Amino acid sequence: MALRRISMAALAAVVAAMAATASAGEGDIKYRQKVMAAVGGHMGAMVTILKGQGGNKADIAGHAHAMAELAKISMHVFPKGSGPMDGKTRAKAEIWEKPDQFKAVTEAFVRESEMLAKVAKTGDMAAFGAQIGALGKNACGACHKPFREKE
Amino acid sequence: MSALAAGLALVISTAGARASGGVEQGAYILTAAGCVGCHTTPSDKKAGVLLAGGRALKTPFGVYYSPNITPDPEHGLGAWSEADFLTALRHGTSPRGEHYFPVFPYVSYTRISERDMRDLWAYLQTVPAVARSEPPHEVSLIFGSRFLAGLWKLIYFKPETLAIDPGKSPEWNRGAYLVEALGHCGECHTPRGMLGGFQTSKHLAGTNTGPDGDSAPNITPDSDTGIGRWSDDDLDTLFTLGMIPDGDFVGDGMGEVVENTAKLTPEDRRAMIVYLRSLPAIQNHIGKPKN
Repeated sequence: MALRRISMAALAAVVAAMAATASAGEGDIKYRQKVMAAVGGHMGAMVTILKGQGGNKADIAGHAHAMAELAKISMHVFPKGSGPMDGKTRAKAEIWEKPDQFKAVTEAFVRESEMLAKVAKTGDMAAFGAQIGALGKNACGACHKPFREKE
Repeated sequence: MSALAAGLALVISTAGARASGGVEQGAYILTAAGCVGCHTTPSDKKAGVLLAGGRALKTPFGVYYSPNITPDPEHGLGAWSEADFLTALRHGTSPRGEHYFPVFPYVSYTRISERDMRDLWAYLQTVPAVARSEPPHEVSLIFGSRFLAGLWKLIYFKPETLAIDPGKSPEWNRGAYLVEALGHCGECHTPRGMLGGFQTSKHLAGTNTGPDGDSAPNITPDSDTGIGRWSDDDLDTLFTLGMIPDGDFVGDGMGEVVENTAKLTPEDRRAMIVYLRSLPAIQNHIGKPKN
């Protein structure tokens, strides 16, 4: 009985170790790409609503809130070991080589998307459109230009 | 010029105009031609000081600093006549007959109508004068030689006005004028040869060695390597918000362009889109080589 328990425990430990070390970097890259796709999805959705082409104005606040949450999440999706040396990613090595500069743009992302969520609650569509532009320029563009490879 | 072409020409260059012309129209021309982008430093822009020059323009031939084009009589264009200004844009030549380096996009600006040049000049007189000269260019003797710039012009430049195509709609012609003259899109989006002349067979098909060392995408209608899969609405969203179809945003150089295209009339944006759609699709992949 004790022997079987120990074996099960040993097996579980081995499986856990395997899962942790099997291409951890690639898993982080995959996760990051999903997060960024979500960011792009919400952006596109909000602009569709903004242009009156579809969707529901009432849902803008939800999208903006999601953006603010994703911005916070995005601060943690660049762990060491998920760079260009570790797998197929457009993230540039500069992210880890220039941590202060990188931190500044992730903070800009959080700041601009929190502002977006705030403006979304007011219902002022003009201000909302302006803030989308600001978010795109000061966060998306400001990070992608120095820190992401061209396609 | 036939009466039809002359009539079209008037429509093309005044489309999007406010009725009064002159200074107000000149402000619009400034927007469409994107002068502020090259002639204003980022710090000046933050301070609300425009067109005082000094912006570093990095090219494969060195760094050129844009001149002060405010009406300051000593440091800017204050001593110029209107004719001097027309010559600069049409012929790429200074009032003293010196050749400008083609980082100043007279290869495109030469196609601007005389009326638009005059309105732009009228507007420039109203800009606050700034008493500051730009730094000297940081270029080698070769690429700093006005004489060699003149030779370059002989090979790669022809003063011209944009020919109207009477077989196409006024909207198409307006789009051609906005893209090829005022908007000078080709200056970034058309690949160049070693000496900086345009590879005209790949017009607007993008380049990996564009302004400031950045790439500029292929904006011909090719569905794989260009914008063929974009809808007209995608293009309008780009020109108003700077957003591209996957929800990402353009930055930097194109971001500055979008600040201007966002201020054009919807009809003018539509005209640009109509024109861009009509171009021959050129397969030219920009970016990392596909494995």
